[in-house]
Amino acid sequence: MRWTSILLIVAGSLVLAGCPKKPTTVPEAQPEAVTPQDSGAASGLGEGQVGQASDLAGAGTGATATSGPSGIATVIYFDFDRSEIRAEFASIINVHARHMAAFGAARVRLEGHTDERGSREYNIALGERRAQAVRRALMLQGAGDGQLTTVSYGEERPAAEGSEETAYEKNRRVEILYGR
Amino acid sequence: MVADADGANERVVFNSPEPIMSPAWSPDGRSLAYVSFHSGLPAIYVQALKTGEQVRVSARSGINGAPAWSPDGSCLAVALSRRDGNVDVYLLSLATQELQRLTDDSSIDTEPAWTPDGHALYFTSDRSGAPQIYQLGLTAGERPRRVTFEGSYNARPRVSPDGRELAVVTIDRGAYRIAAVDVDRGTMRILSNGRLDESPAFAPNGADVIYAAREGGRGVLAIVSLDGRVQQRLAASAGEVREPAWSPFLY
Repeated sequence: MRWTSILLIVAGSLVLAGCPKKPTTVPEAQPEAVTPQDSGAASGLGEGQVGQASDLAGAGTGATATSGPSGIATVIYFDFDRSEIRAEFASIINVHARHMAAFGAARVRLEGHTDERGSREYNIALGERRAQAVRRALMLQGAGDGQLTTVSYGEERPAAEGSEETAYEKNRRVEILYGR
Repeated sequence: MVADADGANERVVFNSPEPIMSPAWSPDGRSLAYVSFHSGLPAIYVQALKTGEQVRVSARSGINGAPAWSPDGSCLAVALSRRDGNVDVYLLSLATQELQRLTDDSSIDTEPAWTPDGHALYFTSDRSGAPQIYQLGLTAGERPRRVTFEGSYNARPRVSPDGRELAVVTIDRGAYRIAAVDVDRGTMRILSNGRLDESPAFAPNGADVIYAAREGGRGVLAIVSLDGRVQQRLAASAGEVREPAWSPFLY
């Protein structure tokens, strides 16, 4: 059987090409990923209207439905193999939830991620559970179900390279991405 | 991509800048099922190797993952989360697209693997609080039965050709390693010695397990014999290699 069996491999270099460092550098979502409400809501509101809504809601200067609350962190971090939201992130989630409640046109994609340890499909499930935990927390604080979508990349898209805890803790995360 | 067992004759089956994962051979060796994010969201595809024709078989809301062909090739066991985010194992008929839910638990149930006779599935579940391996018979009324009890983390089962052993990812003294589980006895023995070993797959001869390891920050493939005596690194190809799956054929 020496030369004759065939095996299949997936080349990881493909994954490294699109590694996001922060939300703004994430590659554009494909058209299939955008729901009809997304495009409709986005095109139905001009920048000026969004600004007015911002003033009315008092949600902060420069805040819009597509950009999220200014100056507020957009990454929630998790403990190893856990999906509970740590107390230190509750206030950040509350600000996002209030922003989404104020801007009904806001659409947010929650991307769940894990560190590289363990099996890949289990990590996909773990990343989804983290994204769902953030989704539920946002909805409890006033965000609408229709404003939120989730996707899990598991360990496939690390924010930090490396096989040590300093990288792992940056990779166990949910990214809150507006306008997607 | 597909290559000979020695790494020669590499050829790309499908490529995308978005993640591609979980390749699985059809029992007849003619097709691959895999997960791709190239549409922006994860979906399961089946691709015929000869023609290259790619068919999307599952693009439901949430996770579409971990495809595993039934031994007769008629359906895929898959992991879906649907809208509520609750990851469970389902059976997807390839002919009719009919979906049957196999597990219904608020924990993570994923990574199904068929027994060779097609009568049962093994899968990973963290219903006990941490990932462990369970078996589910496909006869009506059967409940999942836990099969791994050693260690705090056992995941991603693959079944030996004779059905008597599982290759799994386990945590051994803080390191992620490949272990073999004797299904009847419930005993486990560690096969590999890396720190981040994953994705075990049986060779068709049933005597060797191929797996992915990290070496110098890079993904490489390694083979270990089931008795643990022979360890071998496969010749490094360019770039990073992960998630090996052995084709069903011995020519």
